[in-house]
Amino acid sequence: MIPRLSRRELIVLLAVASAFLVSGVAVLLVDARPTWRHYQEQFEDIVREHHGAAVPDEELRGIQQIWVEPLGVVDRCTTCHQGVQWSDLAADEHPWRPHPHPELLRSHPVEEYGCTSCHGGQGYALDEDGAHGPSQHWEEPLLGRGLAAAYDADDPPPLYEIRCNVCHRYERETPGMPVINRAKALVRDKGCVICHAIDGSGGRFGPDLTAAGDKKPGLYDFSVYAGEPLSVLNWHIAHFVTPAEVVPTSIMPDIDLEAADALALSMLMMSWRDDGRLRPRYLPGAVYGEEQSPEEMERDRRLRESEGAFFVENTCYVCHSVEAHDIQSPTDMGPDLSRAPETARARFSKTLDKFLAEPTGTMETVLESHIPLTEAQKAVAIEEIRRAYEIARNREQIRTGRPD
Amino acid sequence: MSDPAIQRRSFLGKLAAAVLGLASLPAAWILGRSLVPNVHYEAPRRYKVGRPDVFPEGVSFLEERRLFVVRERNAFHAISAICTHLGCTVKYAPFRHKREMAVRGLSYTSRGEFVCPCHGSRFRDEGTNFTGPAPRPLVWYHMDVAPEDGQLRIDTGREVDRDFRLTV
Amino acid sequence: MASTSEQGMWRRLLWSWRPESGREARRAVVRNFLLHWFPTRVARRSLDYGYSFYLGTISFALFAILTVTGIVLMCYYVPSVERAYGTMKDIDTVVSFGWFLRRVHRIAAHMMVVSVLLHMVRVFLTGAYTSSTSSVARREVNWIAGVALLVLTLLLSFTGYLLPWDQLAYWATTVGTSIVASIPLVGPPVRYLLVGGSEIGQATLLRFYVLHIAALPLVLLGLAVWHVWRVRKDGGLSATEPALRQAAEAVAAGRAPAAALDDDETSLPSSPHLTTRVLIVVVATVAAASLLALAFPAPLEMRASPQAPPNPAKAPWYFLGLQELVSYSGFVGGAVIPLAVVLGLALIPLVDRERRGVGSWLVDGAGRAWAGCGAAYGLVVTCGILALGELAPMRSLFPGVESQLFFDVLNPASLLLALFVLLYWDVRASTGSTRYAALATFCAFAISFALLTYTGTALRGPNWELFWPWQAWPEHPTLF
Repeated sequence: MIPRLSRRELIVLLAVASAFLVSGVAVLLVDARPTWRHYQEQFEDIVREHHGAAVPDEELRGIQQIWVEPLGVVDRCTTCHQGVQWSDLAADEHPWRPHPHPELLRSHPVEEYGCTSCHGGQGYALDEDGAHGPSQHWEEPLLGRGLAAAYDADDPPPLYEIRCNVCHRYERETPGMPVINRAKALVRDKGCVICHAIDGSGGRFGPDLTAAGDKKPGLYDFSVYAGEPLSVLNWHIAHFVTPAEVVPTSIMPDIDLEAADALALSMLMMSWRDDGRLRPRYLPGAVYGEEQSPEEMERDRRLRESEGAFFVENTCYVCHSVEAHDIQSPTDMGPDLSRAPETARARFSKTLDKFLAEPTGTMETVLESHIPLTEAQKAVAIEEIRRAYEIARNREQIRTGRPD
Repeated sequence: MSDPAIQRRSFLGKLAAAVLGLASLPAAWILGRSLVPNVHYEAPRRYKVGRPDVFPEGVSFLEERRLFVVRERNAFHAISAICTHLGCTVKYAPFRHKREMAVRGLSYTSRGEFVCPCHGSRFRDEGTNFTGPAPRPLVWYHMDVAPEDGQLRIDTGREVDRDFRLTV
Repeated sequence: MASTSEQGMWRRLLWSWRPESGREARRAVVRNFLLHWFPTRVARRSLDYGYSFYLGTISFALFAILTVTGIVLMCYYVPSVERAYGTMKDIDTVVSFGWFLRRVHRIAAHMMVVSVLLHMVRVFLTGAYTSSTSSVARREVNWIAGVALLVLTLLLSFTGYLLPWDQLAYWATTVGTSIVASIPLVGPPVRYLLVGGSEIGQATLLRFYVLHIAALPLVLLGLAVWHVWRVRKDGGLSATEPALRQAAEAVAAGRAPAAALDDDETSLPSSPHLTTRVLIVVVATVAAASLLALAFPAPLEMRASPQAPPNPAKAPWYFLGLQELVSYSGFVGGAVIPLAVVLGLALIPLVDRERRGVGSWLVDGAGRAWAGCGAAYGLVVTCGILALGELAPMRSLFPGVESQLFFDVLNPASLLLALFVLLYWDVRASTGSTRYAALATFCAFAISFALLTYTGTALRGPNWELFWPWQAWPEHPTLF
């Protein structure tokens, strides 16, 4: 017989096995009920109670992720903020509250922009502190009222405009961005480009400001100036007000700014980020494509603003000239629309209305696949064609001196 | 084996083995469950395509989504434009004149058909494949109206059959 | 009670784990694949927790934990400079238990460095790097393999450190590879190969990833397996030395040798006694790693930013002692001392051929005394050179001198090295024993390493200035 394991041995084994079990169970418990699940359940209750909508919607349970690849955005905000896209929801509190500006959501759909593109914050996180910040290792906090109150408790500045301008920086003025618009006007009035290069042109007396918003906090010199909070935004504000007090060796003159203007300009600075990875469709106001000659620009402007703009907007003019409005089609594949009422009768034995309702030949394909017009649009088209017809007939009468 | 000391040790041994066995359960769950993904970096399966009134009567092709949205007055349905043969995008070829047709037991008015440019497969407008190498009819996807903003919503994760209509 | 046939089935499957006779116990290690690493019988002294503390077993268990958790992490991590950071965030936020597995992986890595170091200290202090009997045992070779395993462990930890691609990872790697480059002749080419170029970037990340998940683990596993096999070939842990010595003496005296490990007073069958202890240690290690992981989060700093070094930029903790010395002299701290340490450690068995006190802690009373002396000496001397470096920096004492060579020769790091050499010769001279001298020097080194590491970790702040624990570091500015 061999010596058996001692009792002590087995008790030790039991003890470590129990420790292992406890640790495993502890992990499961810690992980079990994240806060967001709680918010989702309450959202379901709100929707069921007030809207009788088709719930439970299983798609809305679990982690919600919006991935916008062109922007490198991964946003999980809608895991808690489930009411954002609702136009009418019986909820006033966060996180279920719908977006206060649905028109902004329509022009910036969440599927194409995410949430953090406009609001800041950490899209990866699923907990409130991590997502909103400020957090020690995530530099872009949520640009909300809470953060802004640290700068002006009575009148918190709209810091989110900084993010608007990351894309809208090439527009002269954008509705909905009053502070940034003011800052852009100041840049024009004060002549900043005399000393600073911005977007490829300007002076060399001061640093190039094209990507001023990308400069890391560690690269700023806070040895002379130290504000509360110790932030780059505060640095800029102080620097705009009195440059020499923040950078003793600076040659930047005092540009005599009020506090509100200094804040606006600082926000503008922080919005100027390197947009090299953004696709053109995300940059309104930026000019792409070949340079046009003044004649070409004038021609295009005339087309857009002429009486026959309808035919240009709806691309009819690609095939049809409209003599009445001096619109020349590049191809002339179809008859002149100023004569359309006559042409329809002659060629197809139909009135114009009937022809548009039941087109034949090429127009059948065109109106089916290429230029689908709603009934309302067809009515407008008929109106416009009739008007062109009138104008053309009058001209004919004037020219030939003969009443028709 | 009747020595109480031995019996105690035998019990302790079994107890220790049991606890170890039990402890392996949360460990196995943690290691196993962590391998199951919770989020997907893919195009979303469910997406909105616009409010019902932006869609004209008939067939509308959504190129980026590879999808046809079909409207018959107030009834909508969605057909995938992905050929069931090798995945090319099919085109819709409308007829000059509508035809009465019976396909797989269903009699209806057909206004056109789907044609695949890659290998010549053709499908009736209710999706049934009738010529070419395609092995199955075109897929119909579930549609509903998003409660939050009233847009039409397609769910490519839910297939439906050709009786499906969304009436708005 | 289960039916006889059920009991019989369990018995057939598990007999080797619970042998019921001496014969079964002997056959178990031959018939069971997993058990064949073990000897048939193991000395009671070897089984003692207080002898080896099972540090080797703990190290191996940690390696297994790292492998298992590492495999799961590999399903989510992408070694691309654009994507790595995002995948780390995903592991922490959306992977089920990802936060926990990452913490376990990190804590097990740190624990493994510690346990491997402690294991080395234990083996040294018990004189187990040498053998006291005939040429059958070759523990010297195994010791060198052990030093290699230590280096491999450090390299594994270092390569893994870069993978998150956050500020901590990037700059620690920058510091670490710079230290490598300071080795004369081979330094720059080795750095070039490691980095995959001149600057740390995608090539570096990919190489470190390959090293970390494939090349180094395979080499470490192979060497570790050989290391354990060598232990078996050497007759087991050196705690068996006294018994082996007795057997050898009996043979020499012409008596028929009692089978050295056959009686129940000095030894026990491996199955189930050694197996149970190994199981206890492994489960305890897993439990400890899990509980520590619950307590300590794994940091993830901001995304790596090559233009913005943090202040201070620190290497991983086990290299911070080195970084401290490097701050005095890049050449001495980065090249001379590491080489001296690695070579010194590897060659201990060649220097100390006395084979004295193999298998016993600190040899004897005199040994304990010398070890204590060495530790105290190390403490005093290290505090001294730290103070010297703080209060009398060389470049302030000799402002006029321009020669780099001058400062490379005369600096606190080379002073430390010189003082250690002095300690060795002094003890050797006064005791006439290489073992005692080695004991004293090793203990001095161990204390010095610990103190320098602590200084680098806890007391060095921005600009590598000294900040006592109660002194706050300057506040770091943020964007908003």
